[in-house]
Amino acid sequence: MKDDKALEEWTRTLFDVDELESPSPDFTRKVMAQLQPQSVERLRHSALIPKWLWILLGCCFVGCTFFVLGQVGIASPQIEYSHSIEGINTWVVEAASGLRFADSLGYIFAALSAMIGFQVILLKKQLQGRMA
Amino acid sequence: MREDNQPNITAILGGDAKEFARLVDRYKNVVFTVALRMLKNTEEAEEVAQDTFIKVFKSLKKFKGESKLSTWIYRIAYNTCLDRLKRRSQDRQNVAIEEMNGFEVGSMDNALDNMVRSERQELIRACVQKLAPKDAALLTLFYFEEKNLNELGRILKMKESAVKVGLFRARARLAKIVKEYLEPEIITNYER
Repeated sequence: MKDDKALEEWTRTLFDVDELESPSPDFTRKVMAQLQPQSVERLRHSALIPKWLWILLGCCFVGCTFFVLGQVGIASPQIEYSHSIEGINTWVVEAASGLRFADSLGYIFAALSAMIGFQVILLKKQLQGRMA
Repeated sequence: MREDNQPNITAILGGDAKEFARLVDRYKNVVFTVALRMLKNTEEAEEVAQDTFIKVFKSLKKFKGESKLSTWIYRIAYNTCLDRLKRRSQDRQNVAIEEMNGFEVGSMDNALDNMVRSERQELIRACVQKLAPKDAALLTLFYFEEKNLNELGRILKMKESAVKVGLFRARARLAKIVKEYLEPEIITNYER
């Protein structure tokens, strides 16, 4: 036991004169150079808005459009296209006659602003992270 | 567990390259020393040290802070060295341990006292070169980084008791190698 202690002490004094070795002076630069393409790759592959969200937003948009187009026959207090194209009786015209321009535009703008707003929040977060 | 002046991991994960360069600067010497003492080759040690930091960068998001950042990095370094050794498939034969008594340790001390600092440094480096990779890693991390048994166990995937035994054996093997180096010096001293 006493010898173990002596050995431990002796090793400590031996290591006291030793120093850590240093890699080449441009070691950090070399590591960073190897990492650069990888981080670019990572950035290229990470979409700001994930695929599933785009699909969801697309579905919502298509759903809204069909909902609006399905409102055939409901009189619009604003512009009614059917007056200008009388005599042509197709489903497109019927659908178009149901379009209440102001409301539809409203839906579109709401969806668009939701998407842009979402993008802006994500972009801001990403940029702040990079600048920190 | 957080160390003082530890690099900001959140900033690195957010893409801050400067912060990662700071992390590399902070740990490169220990990582390189461990690699050099395990692999006994400067070029390979530099390559492995670089690989270590690339692995650290890639898996930093997996670091949950259950251990110190340094412990986690040294563990990656140690495993990368082991992988390299496996690829080389040549493990150094360990030196047989001999009982070392207090008198022998004392006589080695006297011989070491006659050496200047640079000579002693050269001697210890040459002797550590002769150690098995695991012993070299154990002693380097224990004496340079002052890691405790628990942290050493995490790095080397060993139980604390095994680390304790491993350390004792590594010291004994190192002492035997140093003794062989110093034999002529010890004899000269004895004859005086």
